[in-house]
Amino acid sequence: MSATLEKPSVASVPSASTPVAVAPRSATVKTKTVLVGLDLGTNKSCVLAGPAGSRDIAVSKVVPSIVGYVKDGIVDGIITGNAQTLFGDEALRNALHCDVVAPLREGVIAHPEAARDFLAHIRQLADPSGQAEIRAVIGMPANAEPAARETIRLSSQGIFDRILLIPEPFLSALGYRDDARVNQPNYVDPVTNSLFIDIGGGTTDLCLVQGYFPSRDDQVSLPFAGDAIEELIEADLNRTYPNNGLSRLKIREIKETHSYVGPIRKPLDVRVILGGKAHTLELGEIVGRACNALIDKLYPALTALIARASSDSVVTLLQNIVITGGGSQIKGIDTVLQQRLTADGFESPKVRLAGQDYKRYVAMGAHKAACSARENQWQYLLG
Amino acid sequence: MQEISPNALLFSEEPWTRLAPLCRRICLLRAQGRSDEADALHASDFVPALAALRNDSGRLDTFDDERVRLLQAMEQERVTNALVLAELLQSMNVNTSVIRPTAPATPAHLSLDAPAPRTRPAVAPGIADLLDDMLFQERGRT
Repeated sequence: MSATLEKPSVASVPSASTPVAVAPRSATVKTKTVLVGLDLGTNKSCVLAGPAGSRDIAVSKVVPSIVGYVKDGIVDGIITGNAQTLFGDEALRNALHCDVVAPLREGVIAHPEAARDFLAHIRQLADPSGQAEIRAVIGMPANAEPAARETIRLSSQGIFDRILLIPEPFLSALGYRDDARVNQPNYVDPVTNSLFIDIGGGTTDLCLVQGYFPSRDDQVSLPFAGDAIEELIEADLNRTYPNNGLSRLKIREIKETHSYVGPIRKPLDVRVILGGKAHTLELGEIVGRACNALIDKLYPALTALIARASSDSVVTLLQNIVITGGGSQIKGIDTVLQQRLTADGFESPKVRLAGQDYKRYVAMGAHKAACSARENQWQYLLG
Repeated sequence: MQEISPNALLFSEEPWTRLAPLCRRICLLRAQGRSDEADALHASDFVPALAALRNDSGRLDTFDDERVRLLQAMEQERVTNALVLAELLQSMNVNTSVIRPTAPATPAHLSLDAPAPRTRPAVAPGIADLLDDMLFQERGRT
């Protein structure tokens, strides 16, 4: 069933503690339309927005997917503007004074009310005037269940006017595609024949992109990604260095700085502050084991998708395996996957990293899809 | 024969029978790209009807927001299903005026029963065509 309700103005978006109300639509005439490409990620979200009728991008932001509800009794002036709800970096900066909520877990909405507040914030970034009709293409993990899709629709009611939900790895391929070069003879269009691996915070999504929209069988979503690596590091750290007191944020920082796959690297000395004193921890084995666990989960899914490619396309496909998302920053991940494929006899595989825009490809693809969607392809949210 | 949804029974009595056609019309206008008319109908008819029902003290017990949401979602689904059916009938009638139930309504590569690899087109279709593929697959799953 689709969520289809009439839309209140942004100002009437309910707070975290207020149930969603069916408010009468404001009489405001919407004079413009803004197209939004949104990568709603477990840890970070990326929003690109621009006016309908062009491919221009007026807003481009990466925001930690965090909502902070300011605790009662905070002295005036501690929080800028005495705001009650903070988002992204501001929520993280003021974590001491807030109840911090991550709206998503494993790529799907886990806290609908916080998700509504976060989406209202995204809307505000995309359209500060609050007057535009907002059409948003939102990335979803590959093969997201209907219930997860419905939760996004319900959370978007009254915030976006129309939405389209599209699997993230496919959007990555669209975003990665260099449209200006598509007709050049030497350009290999990733939408025509490639395999995308999008390693995010909550899920690792793989997708065979071969010139048609990937079917369910062409996509795999693994609930093992950046967060799971952090959990393994944390558990191992607690065993090796009991009572280390390192916060999850610090562990994430360690992961983002030192993650690698392949043979264990030693020494990997990491300087941390424990109880106010500087210590050096040797984390080569801990980080390596956690990151290599991702390879162990990912590799069987990768080979299963390769096996789905037809014999006339598989050789070219093997030349176009692209890793994107935050996990593409794990050192050596392209090399290790390529070596394993070669060792298993696959024909001249080439695994590459999507590059410096890895945080934005899903949103870029979503914005391209928003620019190209036909009127009858949008889903109306009558808020 | 189509089964009656249990939800439909929730709306088989007053005041829901008054709201449902309005809701359906608004969804249909939006689906046809006639947003201005949909907005106008919403403002002129739906909102006042809803407000009148809210103010009717005798109905407060049964008239809740969740149920309004459900009604609107149900009507949207009906409109979507009707449009899909219309699309299918249209494609079946391309070469003949007689509706042939066994006529292929979709390209072979979209067959939902065939998990085998699909033939890769030489040139990638446009993004909107790919979205058509996606929407067709979604409808096949619901």
